[in-house]
Amino acid sequence: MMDRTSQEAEIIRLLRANGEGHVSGQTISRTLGISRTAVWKHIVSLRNAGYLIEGSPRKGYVLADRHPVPFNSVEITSALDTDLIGREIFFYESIDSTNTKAMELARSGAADGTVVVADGQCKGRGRLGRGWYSPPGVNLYTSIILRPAIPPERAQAMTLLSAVAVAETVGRFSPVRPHVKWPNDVLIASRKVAGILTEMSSETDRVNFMVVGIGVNLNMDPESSDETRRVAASIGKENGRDVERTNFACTLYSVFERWYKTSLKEGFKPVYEAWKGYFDGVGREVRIKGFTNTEGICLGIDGEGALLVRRPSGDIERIISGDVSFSTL
Amino acid sequence: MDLKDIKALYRFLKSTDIVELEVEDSRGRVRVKRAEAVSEEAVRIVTPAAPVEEKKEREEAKEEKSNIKTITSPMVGTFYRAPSPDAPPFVELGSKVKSGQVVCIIEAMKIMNEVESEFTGKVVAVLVENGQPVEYGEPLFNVEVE
Repeated sequence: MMDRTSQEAEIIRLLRANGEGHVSGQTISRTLGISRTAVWKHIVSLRNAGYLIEGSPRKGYVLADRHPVPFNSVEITSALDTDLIGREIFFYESIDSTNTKAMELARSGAADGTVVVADGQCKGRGRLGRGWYSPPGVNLYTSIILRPAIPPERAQAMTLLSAVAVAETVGRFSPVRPHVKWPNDVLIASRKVAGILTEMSSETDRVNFMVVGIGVNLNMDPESSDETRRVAASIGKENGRDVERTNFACTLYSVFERWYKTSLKEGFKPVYEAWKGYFDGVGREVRIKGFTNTEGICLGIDGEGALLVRRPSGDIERIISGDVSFSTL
Repeated sequence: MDLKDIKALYRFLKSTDIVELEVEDSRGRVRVKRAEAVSEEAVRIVTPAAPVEEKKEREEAKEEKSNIKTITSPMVGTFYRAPSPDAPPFVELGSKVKSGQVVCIIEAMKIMNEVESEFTGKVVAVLVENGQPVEYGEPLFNVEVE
């Protein structure tokens, strides 16, 4: 039995497939295996969600093709090709933070692969309480709930995995190849296009759940806000045309799922290799602000993803957290 | 559409779980809506996972008879007492904590790991400074259990 969102997504797929032709209520009812009254209920709900569905008593329903494609859970579900990530979607027009919501849902038992998506966030969060600029209508703000059967110390590899999944997805929509900045910022032309914040709940020997929060600048104008001017990039502005948000979100879930499933089965080695392919920091001067400050030449990452830095004294330091800044090339 | 039709519609609506109905024919259109309609957007069903009860026999044996228990770090990382630099700490010296309550965050590789207290009691020692690196198993807090 499909849930409500899946049924409505199926109706939208049927209507789109028929273009300007009408689809009868009976056809919908037969295809979905639901009653005519249930069909009508879904049509009402879809209209309330902003779909212009015209109905005529004899011919059936038609989706007016002139309306802009909305961004919502029905659209995402109708375009999704995954079988884990995004199978359960919590969509919000506006929310404080998708990560805060996802942590709440995870605590109350939400399933592996559940996602939270918002059109806009009023308290988008970054590392250590920093904000993530989240205007409505233009970008992607999503959090993925994961329940990997791995011990907490291996969970760190998930940071590089999410960076690789986001970078690969950005690369499919951007003519400019993205880079990653250790550990998981994604940049286009040295400006930040995506940020990832992972929160985790664990016990000594196992991960209860992880929430991977991903913000991607798709269509905003970074120059329009003091928070993003000169430090952020957006794919749409780089391309000179808008990125379709549903398409981007579904591609991201699909790419993420592929890396996630492969890694749980075969280990994280391919993730590390792919990550190195996106990293352009080796040999550059790097500065890390943390409990102690470190400066030196970046040597790359070790087998656990930690950043290796050779200090002027010749000592090699292993960095696992802190604010990292690389000298510009 | 006349009164008889509308009455029939009303009876039909009452016999179903439909909250809103719109019917159109050559003579016009009528919409019937239930007053007690519940917004469907507000209803989401989440299947809660079965609560996990983990026995703490190992720790209890180790701590012998003392009522002072130690919360240790589950991983190598950086210790934070608060979710952000300008937020109040999760717990202070003397705070009452409950089992399962978040007491600090350990960060490694940009994963913020919420560390929960395994004990219910009072925080009698904060053993690590905010922002300091910690090792796996390093003592973080002492809790006097009730």
